[in-house]
Amino acid sequence: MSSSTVRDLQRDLENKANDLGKIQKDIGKNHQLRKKYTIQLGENELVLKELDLLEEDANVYKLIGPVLVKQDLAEANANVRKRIEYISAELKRLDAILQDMEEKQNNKRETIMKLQQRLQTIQAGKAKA
Amino acid sequence: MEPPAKGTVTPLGFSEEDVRKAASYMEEKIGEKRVEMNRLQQYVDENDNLINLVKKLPDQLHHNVMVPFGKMAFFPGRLIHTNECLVLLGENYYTDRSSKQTVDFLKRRDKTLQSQIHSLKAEIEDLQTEASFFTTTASEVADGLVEIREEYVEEDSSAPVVIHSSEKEPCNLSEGETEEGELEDDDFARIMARLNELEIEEELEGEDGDSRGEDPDSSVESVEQIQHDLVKGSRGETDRGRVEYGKQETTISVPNKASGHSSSPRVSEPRVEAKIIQVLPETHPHKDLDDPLNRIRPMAQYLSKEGQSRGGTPQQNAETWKDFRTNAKTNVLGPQKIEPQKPEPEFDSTKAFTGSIVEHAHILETSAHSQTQSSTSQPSKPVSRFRAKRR
Repeated sequence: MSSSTVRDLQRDLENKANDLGKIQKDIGKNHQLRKKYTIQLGENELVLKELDLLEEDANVYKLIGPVLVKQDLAEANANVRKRIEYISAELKRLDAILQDMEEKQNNKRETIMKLQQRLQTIQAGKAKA
Repeated sequence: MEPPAKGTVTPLGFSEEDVRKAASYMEEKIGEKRVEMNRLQQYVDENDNLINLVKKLPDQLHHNVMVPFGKMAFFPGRLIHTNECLVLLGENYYTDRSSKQTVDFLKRRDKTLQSQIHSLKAEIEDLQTEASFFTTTASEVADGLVEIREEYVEEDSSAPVVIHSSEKEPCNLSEGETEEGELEDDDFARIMARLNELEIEEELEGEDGDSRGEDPDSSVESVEQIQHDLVKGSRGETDRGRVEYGKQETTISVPNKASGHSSSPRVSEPRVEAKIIQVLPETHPHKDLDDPLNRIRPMAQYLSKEGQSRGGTPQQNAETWKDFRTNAKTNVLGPQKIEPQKPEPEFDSTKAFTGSIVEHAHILETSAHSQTQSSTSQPSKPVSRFRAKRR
C-alpha cells in the first residue's frame, strides 16, 4: 500500500519537474525574444532621432531587397513611429506573459517542494518501521 | 566564575560543489559580457577610422580607389562626389548627407556605443564581485569554517541622573516673561475701556447738540416735503445722492452713526424710503465724530499721562499707540450706499398718498413754483407746500 503511494508520488513529482522544465524553457525563449525586441526598439529610436534631425528637403531612401527606393521624409518618420509602437506593445505583451510564467513556475516549485516533503516523511516512517 | 555564554555553532548552509558551480556560472556570464564588450569596442574603433576617412574625403576633388566587385575581386575606380555620402541611419533607411553632417552622425553613434560599453563594464564589475564572493565562500567551505553566534546581554547602566541648575533657569525666565505679558495685557485692557468711555461721551454730546438745533415742526414739514417730492418725481434720475425731479432738487442724507455703542434711536431723524439713497460726505451731520483725529485726541492725552505715570519705554508706548490707531481706523464709518432690492410701484403725479384726496395739476404747479422760491430764500429749512400755499 505504502509502496504504491510512494510510486504515485514519485511519478507525480517527475511530471511536475518536467512541467517546470518546460516552463523554464519558455521563460528562456521569452527572454531571448525580449532581448531581440529591445535591440530593435533601440535601433528604431536612434533612426527616429536621426530622421527628426534631418531637414524637410532631405532625400531618404529605403533598402527593399537589393534596391534603394526613394521615400518621403514624413512617410519614413510615420513608419518608424508605427514600428516603435508595435515593438513597445509586443514588449508589454511579453512582459505580461513572463509574469504569468513566473507565477506558474513558483506554484510548480511549491507543489514540488510539498511532494518532496511528503516523500521524505513517508521514507522516514518506513525507516522507523 | 562567569557562566559560559550561550550560542550556536552552525556550518555554512551550502556544499562545496554548489558554490563551485555558482562560481563557474558567474565566470561564464563574465566571459559572455566581455565578448560583447569586445565586439562593441571593435565597432567603436571602426567608427573612429570611418570618421577620419570621411574627414579626409573632401580635401580633394577626386580619389582613385579600388571598388569591391563581389567577395573575391576589385576593380579600379574614381570617387567624384567627395562631399556626398549615402548614410545608413538604421532599419534599412538611408539618406544623402554631406561629409560634415556624416561626421556629426558618426560622432553621435560613437556616443551611444560608448554609453553601451560603460553599462557593460558596470555589469561586468557586479558579476566579478559576485564571482569573488562565491570563490571565497567555496574556499571557506573547503577549509571547514563554521558560523558562531553568541547571545549578547546588555549591561544595565546604573548611573544617577544629574539635573544641573542651568536647566532650571530658562523656566524662571519664561515665568517672568509671562508675568510681564499679563501686566501689558491689563494695561491694554484699561486703555481700551477708557477709549470706549470717551467714545460714548462724545456720541452723547453730539446727540444733545443735534436735538437742540432742530425744531419739531420743521421736522414734520421736512417729512411732508420729501414725500411730496418723491411722489412728484418718481421717474427722476439720481446723481450722487441728489434726486432730480424736473426743476426741483432735494438732497436726501442719512447721518452715519460713529459707532454702535449708542442704543437710543434719534427721534428727529426723518425716515425716508427712496429707490436709491446715497450718503454724501459733504451733507454728513457728524463730521467731528467721523474725523479720526478728533476721536484720537483725548485718547492721546490719556496715553501720554499713562506713559508718564507708568514710566514705560517709548517703544512700548509707540506700539500701544499703533494698535490704538489701527483700532480707531476700523471703527470709523464712511459714506454708505443703500439700494433696496424691491422696486416701488410708480405713482400717478396727480394723486396724493391717500386714495381719498385728489389734487389738480394747476394747484401742484403753483405749489411747486412757490416752493422753489421759498427754497432759494431759505436753503437751510425746507418749507412745506401747505405753508407756502397759505402765504
